[in-house]
Amino acid sequence: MNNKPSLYTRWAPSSDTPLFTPWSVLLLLLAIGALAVAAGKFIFGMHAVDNLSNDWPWGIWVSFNVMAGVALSAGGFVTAGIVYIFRIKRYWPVIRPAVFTAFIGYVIAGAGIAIDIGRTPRIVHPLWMWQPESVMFEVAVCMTIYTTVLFFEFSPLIAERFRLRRTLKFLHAIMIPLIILGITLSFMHQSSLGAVHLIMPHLMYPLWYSEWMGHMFFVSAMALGLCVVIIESTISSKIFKKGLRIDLLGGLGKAAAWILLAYLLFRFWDLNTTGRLDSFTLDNTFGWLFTVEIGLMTLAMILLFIKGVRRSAGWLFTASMFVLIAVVLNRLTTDLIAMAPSRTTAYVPAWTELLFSIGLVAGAMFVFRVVAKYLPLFEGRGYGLSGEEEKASFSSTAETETA
Amino acid sequence: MVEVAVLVDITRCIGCRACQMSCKQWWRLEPSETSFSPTITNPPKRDEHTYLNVEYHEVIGDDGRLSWNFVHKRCFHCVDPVCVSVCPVAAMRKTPDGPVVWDEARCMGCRYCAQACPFRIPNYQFHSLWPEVSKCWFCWDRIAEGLQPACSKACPPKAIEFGEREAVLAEAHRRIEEFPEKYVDYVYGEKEAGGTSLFYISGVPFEQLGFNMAVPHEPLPELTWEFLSKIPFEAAAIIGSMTAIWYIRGRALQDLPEKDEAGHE
Repeated sequence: MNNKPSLYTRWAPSSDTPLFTPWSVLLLLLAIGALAVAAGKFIFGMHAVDNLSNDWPWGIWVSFNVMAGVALSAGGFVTAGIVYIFRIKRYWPVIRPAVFTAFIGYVIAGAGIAIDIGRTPRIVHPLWMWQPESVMFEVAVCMTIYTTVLFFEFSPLIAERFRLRRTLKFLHAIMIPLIILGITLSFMHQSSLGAVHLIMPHLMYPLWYSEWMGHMFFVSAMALGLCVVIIESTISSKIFKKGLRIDLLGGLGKAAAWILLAYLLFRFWDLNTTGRLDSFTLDNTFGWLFTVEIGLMTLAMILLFIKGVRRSAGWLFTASMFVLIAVVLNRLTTDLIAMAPSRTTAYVPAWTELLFSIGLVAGAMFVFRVVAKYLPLFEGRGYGLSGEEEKASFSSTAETETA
Repeated sequence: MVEVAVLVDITRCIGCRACQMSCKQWWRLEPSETSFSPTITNPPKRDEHTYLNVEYHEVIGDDGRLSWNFVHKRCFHCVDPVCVSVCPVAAMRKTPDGPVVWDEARCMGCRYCAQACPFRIPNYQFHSLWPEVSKCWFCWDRIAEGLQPACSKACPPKAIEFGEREAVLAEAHRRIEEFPEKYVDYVYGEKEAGGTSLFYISGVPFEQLGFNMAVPHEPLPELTWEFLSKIPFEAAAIIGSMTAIWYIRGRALQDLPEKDEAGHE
C-alpha cells in the first residue's frame, strides 16, 4: 500500500450524506426481508415462499428479477460504449455510476435466479456442464462472465480509493478490450433472454412473440439502460446533493429516443408482416397491456425528441420513467402474463415473492448509497483514459495540487 | 438399437387404469390424493407421484350421441425434444432407442423444461428441498432389457401397443385406412413438435379430448437454433465493428482534439 498522495488519488470523502436516514433504513429492512425469504426457501422449500406450480413453473422471480433486472442494468454497456468506444468524452461523468448500477443489477439478478432455482448450490453447473443448444446455457455463461467484466470495469474505484497505483495502471491497460468484451457479452445475453421464449410460439399470446424477439430485447434494453442512467443520476443528485449535468442527461435522452424509434418501427414491421397484429383487440386484457406498453414508449419517445423536455430535469425524469415502466412491463408480459392462454390456473405472486423482489432492489439501492459514500463514485477523473490522454489529465491535476 | 414407440388406440381403451397401477408399481410411486371431479379422472392430474393417468372425456358427437372416451396421457417422448434442447446443463437426454430421460446429478432446477414443453408435461417437486423433475420415463430400464413398458404390458384390451416406431406408426395408419368409419383420419403425435414416440388414434376429434392442436408441426428446437447459430457471427461482427469504431474515433479525435470537449448539444 502506498500512502503517499499519488497522481491517481484526488479522492476525499466529499459526500457527507448520512448512511442511515429513515429512507435508507427502510431500504435496509426490505433487504433483510429478502434475506429472510431466501432463508425460508432454504429451510422450508420453494413451496413455502412462492406460488409456483406445474402450471406456472416460472413466476415473478424469473420475469422481474432476471428478465427485467438484466434489462434495467443495460446502462453499463451502453455508456461504456459511448465513452470508451465512440470516445464521446464529455459523458465521462455518468460512466462510473452507470457501470456500478449495472454491476449491482447483475449481482441481484444472479442472486435472484440462484434463489429461484430448485437446487441453488448447482447454479454453477452451466460453467462446466455445457449444452450449447440451450439459450439458457448462453444466458448463464454470458451473465457470469459479464458480471466479472463489470466488476473489473468498476474496480478502478476501489484501486483509486486504496491508492493501488499498479492495479489501476493494469486496469487502464485492459479497459478497452474489456469494454468491447462487455458490449459483445451484453448483446449475447440481453438478446438471449428474449430468445428464451422462441421455442414456445404456441404457448404465448401472439403480440409478444416474434422470430426477432431476441434482437428486440437487446434494442429495448439499450433504451432502458440509458433511461436508467437518467433516473439514477436525477435521484443521486437529490440524495447526494450533486449538481445535475442536465446537458449530458439530455444527450442520453436523445439517444434513447432514437433507439425507441428504431424499436417501435422494428416491432410494428414484424407484427405487421407476420400478421400477429391481427390478434390485437381491446376486448381482452392483452390488448390493453399492449396499448399501455406501446403507448408509454411512444409518448416517452415523442417527449425525448422535444428539446425543452431534454432541458428540464423533471420532464426528462418523467419520460425516462415511462420508458422504465414500459420496458419492465414488456418483460413481465413476455415472460409471464402472455403465457396465460396456455395455462389452466391463475398465478398470483405470493407476498414473499414480492418482498424478495422488492428487497433485492432495496438492498441494491442501499449498497449504492454505501458505495457513493465510501468510494469515489461521482468523482471519476481520467477513469480509463488511454495513454497520453490519461497522463495529461492527471499531470495537470497534480500540478494544480502541488502549486 | 431401433427406435421404439407406443400406439394408443383410444377406441380400444376400457378405462380400467391398469396402466396407471402398473406404472406406480414399476416406479414405486407413492399414492396420490384422489378427489371427486365432474369426470371420474383420478388422480385428477399428473404430478410427481403420477407419471401417467387416464382422462375420462364425455363427448357429444355430431349425431347427438354421447360417447365416453378414456385417454391414456403422459410424456410424448418427442423425436427432437424441447426439454432436451432447452436444458442448460444437459440433464435431459434422449436415448438412442427413444425414451427422454433425466439425469439427477446434473439438474439445477431451473424448470425451463417444464416451462417450454409444447405439451406441458414435466412436473416439478415444489415442496421438496431437493426437487426432482418427474414425468413418464418410457420405462427406459425395461426397454434396455428388451422388455416392454409397464403400461403397455398391463393393458388388457391392447389399447397401448409397444413396438418399433416405424411399425407402430404403420399400424396406426393401417387401422384408420381399414376402418375409416371408426376413426378420425388423424394420428396425433405423428407430426406434432416434429414427431413424437407416442401416437394416438381416436374415434372422436382430438380437440374434444384435451389435446393441444396448436402444437406446431415443426421440430421446435430449430426455432432456437436459428437464433443461436447466428450468434458467433453477430458476436464477431460486434467485436470487429467496436474495435474499428474505437480506432477510427481515436484518429478522428487526434485530428480535432477539441471538438467533443467543447461540443454541446
